[in-house]
Amino acid sequence: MEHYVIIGGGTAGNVAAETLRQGDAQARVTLISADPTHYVYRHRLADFAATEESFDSLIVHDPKWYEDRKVQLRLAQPVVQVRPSDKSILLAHRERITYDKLLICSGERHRLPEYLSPFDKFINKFSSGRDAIMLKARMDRIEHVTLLGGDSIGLQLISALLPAGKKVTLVMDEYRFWPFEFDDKQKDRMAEALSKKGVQVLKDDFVTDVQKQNGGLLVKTRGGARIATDEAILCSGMVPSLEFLADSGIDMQEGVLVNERLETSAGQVWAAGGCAQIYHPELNDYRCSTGYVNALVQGELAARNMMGALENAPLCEPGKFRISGEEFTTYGWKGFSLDEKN
Amino acid sequence: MRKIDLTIEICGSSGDGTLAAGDILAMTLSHLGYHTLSFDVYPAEIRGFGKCVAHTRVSDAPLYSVGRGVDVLVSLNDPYSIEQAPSLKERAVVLFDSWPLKEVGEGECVAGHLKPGNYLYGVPMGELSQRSTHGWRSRNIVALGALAGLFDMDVDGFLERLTSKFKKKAGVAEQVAAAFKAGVDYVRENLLKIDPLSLALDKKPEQKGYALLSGNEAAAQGALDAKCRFYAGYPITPATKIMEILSARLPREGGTVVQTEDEISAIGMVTGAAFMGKRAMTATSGPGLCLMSEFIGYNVMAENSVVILDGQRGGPATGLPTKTEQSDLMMAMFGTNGDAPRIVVAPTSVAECHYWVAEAFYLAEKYQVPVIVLSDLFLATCKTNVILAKIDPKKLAANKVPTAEQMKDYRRQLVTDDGVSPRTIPGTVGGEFVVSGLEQDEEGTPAYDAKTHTMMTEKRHRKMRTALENDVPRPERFGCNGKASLGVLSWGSTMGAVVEAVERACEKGHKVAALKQVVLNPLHVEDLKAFCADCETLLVPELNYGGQFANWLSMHVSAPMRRLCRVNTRPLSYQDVLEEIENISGDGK
Repeated sequence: MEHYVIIGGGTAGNVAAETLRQGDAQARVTLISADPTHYVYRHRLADFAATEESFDSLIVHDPKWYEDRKVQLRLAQPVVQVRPSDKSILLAHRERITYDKLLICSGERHRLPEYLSPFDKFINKFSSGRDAIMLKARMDRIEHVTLLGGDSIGLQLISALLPAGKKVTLVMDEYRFWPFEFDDKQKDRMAEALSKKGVQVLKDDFVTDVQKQNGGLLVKTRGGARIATDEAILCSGMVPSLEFLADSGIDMQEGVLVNERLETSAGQVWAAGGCAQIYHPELNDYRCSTGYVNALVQGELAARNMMGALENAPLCEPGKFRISGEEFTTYGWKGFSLDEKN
Repeated sequence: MRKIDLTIEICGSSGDGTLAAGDILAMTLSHLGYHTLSFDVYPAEIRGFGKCVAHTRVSDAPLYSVGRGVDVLVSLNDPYSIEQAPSLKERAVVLFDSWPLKEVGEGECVAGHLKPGNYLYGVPMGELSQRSTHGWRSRNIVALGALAGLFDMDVDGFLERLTSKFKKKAGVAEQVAAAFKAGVDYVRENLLKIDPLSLALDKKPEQKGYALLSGNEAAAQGALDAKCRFYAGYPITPATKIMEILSARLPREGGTVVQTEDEISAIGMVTGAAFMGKRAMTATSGPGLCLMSEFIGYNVMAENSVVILDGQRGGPATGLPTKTEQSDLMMAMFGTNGDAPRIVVAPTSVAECHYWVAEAFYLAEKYQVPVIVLSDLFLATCKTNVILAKIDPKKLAANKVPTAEQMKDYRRQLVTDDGVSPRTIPGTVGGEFVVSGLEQDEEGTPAYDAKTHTMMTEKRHRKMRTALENDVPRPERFGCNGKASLGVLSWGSTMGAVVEAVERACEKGHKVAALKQVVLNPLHVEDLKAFCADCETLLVPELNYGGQFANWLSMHVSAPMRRLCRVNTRPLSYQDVLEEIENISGDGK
């Protein structure tokens, strides 16, 4: 009986688990997640944090789903080591698990730009169920939120915070707007569109200091702005979450390097979703991708390949979102619109 | 309706401080205003590394029984805790030591045995203990700190109780406080509580006058309150605690405690002390009661006032020394040769352990009979919040003293209308008497003729009827009024599960009633018959294989009874009884 181990409890991991079960009724399937919460609809996390919505309503699969499929779910159990030489992984609580085939879909973590790292302890993150629960717990005390950087998660937060009556300031990173690089023209369009929505946008500015002040925070910028805010949230993009693979011997660059069939450099180890940097023959290059749609496609494909298929991963499809009538392109996120709410 | 109803289990090995942690938890929760009911599961071996489980049910309303399923499992030893994992409820919380001494293989950690809906919180208990106290022994206290932090309990109140428990041990209180704080701080700084379980109280419940006691502690207090002045016993699980308490406290009251070489000796000494007019008692378990059976008959024949507490445990023989059962009923009722009427009482709660032990002295003295108090391991060791009853001072001197007229021609076994003979204390001038185990006439002279034996046998049984009429409370009915589709009859500690199950069944619309009788012999048969007539079906839950109580009742009423008999070493939960009620009642509410 094969033992399939999946690292990562997000979209890619869950769809892979289901695909593996459908394809192999006898196999053992273990799904390991560092996150303590169940697999959730991440695009609704911001709404959950800003409204009365219950966390349970965000959960994609209830516990019975895993029981019915005989998928062993291990939540809140971070992996700290992968050892392909003896086909084992080590969990943070020192339990070693052996696998026959391993799928890495550990997703992404926040990108903390170097210039913000001195203020890390004052800056909150927002991407997981855990982050959302923590933000919701503070929400009653928050009137003003300052977003640092600029990314799709920030847009999700804006779309939830404005209707909740919160004041939002966006200090828009001068270099990029993740997950896509904007040219100046696009950036101007974005800034203008957000301003129309009521967001205070500091375009092409740069945070130089974050400090505590009167129970809240004071954010200073190179442009001379002094923003008294209740909350500073990092929105500076995501990078593949790979720290636990440091001594694995698996080839990595920005993400886990995989071929077009999502195989890593280690035998019997695959990677998919936001942590994977996939070789696309048509580009003759490796690309990281992000978001729900890509995770869905790649998780399913990786699982099929683990069971013997030899399918190639497609290039990620672009998505669209609209702000104040302006349309922007994204790769990976499901299309959404701030216009629907405001 | 309860807002809080959680079952917390701390599971570890002997030496992990598992039971100590459970004890502190129950004590502190009780002090903080919660109702608690706790009991321990531990190995029979005195030395070794057996599995220990401290089980605490906590609520904002009074508790009468254990609950089935575990809401919070604190693992101090993963191999043992894995065995508890099947008991976890769907949304249970598991707190475990996330930094074991060495790497473990797959499945050797409790984290690998959870249900998909369980919530796992890792706390490096050993490491935090080492850091805060320079030793590993305070892992249990770290775990308590983590629990307090996770459930947002009154940490200061918890700490106060904790340190006060250890204040007499120099340096220990400081170490305990450090370990506790390490657990609290770790949780607050590193863990996010995402589970839905809560111990938050809208307001602190009124707990004035409550004491947190085990059945054994309550029984010992009952003996003290009833002016027991002599105790003899041989250590045996689960009754030893009574002797431990009395050996510390009885001498201060002018009494005596003797640890004898065996149970026969213990009951012999108690018999002698009672003969001399002292309120005297022994406590034992099934194997000890076996040894005492000869003396039970002797005390019936000699009309001597002894109190015997039997903390029942799994049997037969040495059986299961640390597991609960209710399988000594028939032995308590009939154990000894001949027609030997005795009073048998079975308290149903910790509070009743106090009241009925005190009452046992009164009944024994008044009716000059052995009174057997049937406790069991669960009731003896479980701790819960109780308000102890005040003992009626009039019941502290119940001996039937001979009148001046009777003293002119004193007859120790005088045949009377109520069956009770006036009794002098040995040494009373003019009141000298002789008794033995032989059948005897009124003067105490051995007599083997049919007339005397018939007369004296009737006399001894007449005392039971007198006691029934004057001092045995009528059974208490609860649940629905009038005709019931189901009537539940039970006894001893199982009654707690019945109380909660019937309460919940009634809330669900079932027409269910229950009858509680603490005195099992003599029995108010007419009340029993009336209850049975009111119920379409009868259910008798108890912890023995054959249905001993159902058999006992069937000797008095002819109604058919369904039995819910378990010998699975655990007390019945209210869910066990409720499920059976619902199985029987079906939709026919």
